Amino acid sequence: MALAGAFDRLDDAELVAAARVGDAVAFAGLVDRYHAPLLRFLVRLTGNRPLAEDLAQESFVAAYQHLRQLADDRSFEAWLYQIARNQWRSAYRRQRLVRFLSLDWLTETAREQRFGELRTRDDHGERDHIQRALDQLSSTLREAIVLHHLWGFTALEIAQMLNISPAAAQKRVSRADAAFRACYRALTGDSSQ
Amino acid sequence: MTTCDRFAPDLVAYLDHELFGARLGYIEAHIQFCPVCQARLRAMRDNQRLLQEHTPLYDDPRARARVKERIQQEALRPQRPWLTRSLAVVAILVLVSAALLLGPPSRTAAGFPLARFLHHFGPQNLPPPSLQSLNQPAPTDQTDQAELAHLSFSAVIPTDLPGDLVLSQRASDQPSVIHLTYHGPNYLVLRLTEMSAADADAEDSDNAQRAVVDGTEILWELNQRRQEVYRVTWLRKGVFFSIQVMESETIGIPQDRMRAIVMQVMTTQDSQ
Repeated sequence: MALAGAFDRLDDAELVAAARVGDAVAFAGLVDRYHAPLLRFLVRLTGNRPLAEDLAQESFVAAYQHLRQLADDRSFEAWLYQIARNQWRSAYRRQRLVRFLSLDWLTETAREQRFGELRTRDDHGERDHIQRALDQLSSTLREAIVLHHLWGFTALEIAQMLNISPAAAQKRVSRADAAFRACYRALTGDSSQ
Repeated sequence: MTTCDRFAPDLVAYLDHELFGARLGYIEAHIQFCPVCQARLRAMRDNQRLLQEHTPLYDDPRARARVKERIQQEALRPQRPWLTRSLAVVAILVLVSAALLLGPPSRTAAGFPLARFLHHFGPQNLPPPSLQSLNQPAPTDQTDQAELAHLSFSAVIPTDLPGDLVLSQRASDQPSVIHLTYHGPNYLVLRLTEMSAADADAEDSDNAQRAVVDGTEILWELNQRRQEVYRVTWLRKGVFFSIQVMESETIGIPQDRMRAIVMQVMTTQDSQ
């Protein structure tokens, strides 16, 4: 994603190094870089836009507070994801997220019009089916498929993040994919192979 | 279950370009002649495309601005240098030692350093502290106590757990769930979450191991690197329990110690 401003040319490690010595503006560069993809990821995990925004905000604050704990050889992106994942799992257990099709998708239309991203009603229907299919998965499988299919992490990277073996991660992604496919087809009435 | 199910995880690795050498050749050859795996691979790519194309990128400048504002607030908060904290610890130690040197002030507080300290240095118009008053829950716990009355199940609340873990906080934001936080030495924090079994849905995990404690099947989740437990769950007498090591999954505690903690919770449940 293109960044506006002086942080375009700096990579994550350089921004992290600057933020570690108190440069909050450098950390804001990381917020610019990762807020949108993190929000996208959390919206799919939670199915709830306001909650996803809160979790994204808390994730960035936690990352800023614990920046010194990030090992030099570790990717900020993967670390941020891990924080967001922990925030989500805590919220999931705490609030027992209500799984139903929320009205967020409706309010989203208004937001998207404002940002010039108006989509067709059919596209929203597709998104509803996707979200409902995701909501039917266990939190473990939902996390696996969102990480792999949406965020683009490989099974090996997921294994490192979740602290499981690569084989377990591959198996989990495979199971998540099959479960999602079954749920999605049941919702859309698609009986194709 | 098809004969090709064993290849399913390999298809993920193939999709990730994480197969190499002979294994890559073997899987590629298999895919070429196996319609089931071809369909699976195609479906997996379709799912990826579906999720990516129909999940918008939420570029919300206002939400981003709110995050930056929080970060600025964090940056402006005064940081306590380690020296200040060390001095505070030394000051407390000096005061408590002074109280100890002054000797036992009363029968009720005899032998209890904090009670002696409060007797000598606390407000004189308060009654002398007793062990019972010192063991009362913290004010936040008292607030939560009212909420506990609305719980839809019989919560189990041990005041301490093996390993010097002391109950530090209780919270219940809905009738079917209660969260108990225990603080121990070396910054170890455990969260015991209990919920009505009727509202619990078990989460699966490839990392979990099964064991039996006091006739109840429990599920361990082990830290791969250190072979320590970071989470354990079980269902017993209508309550779903979950104990988790807080802050990080890379921190765990030894299995025998976690077993003792689980035992203590079960014993507390039996005794009520």
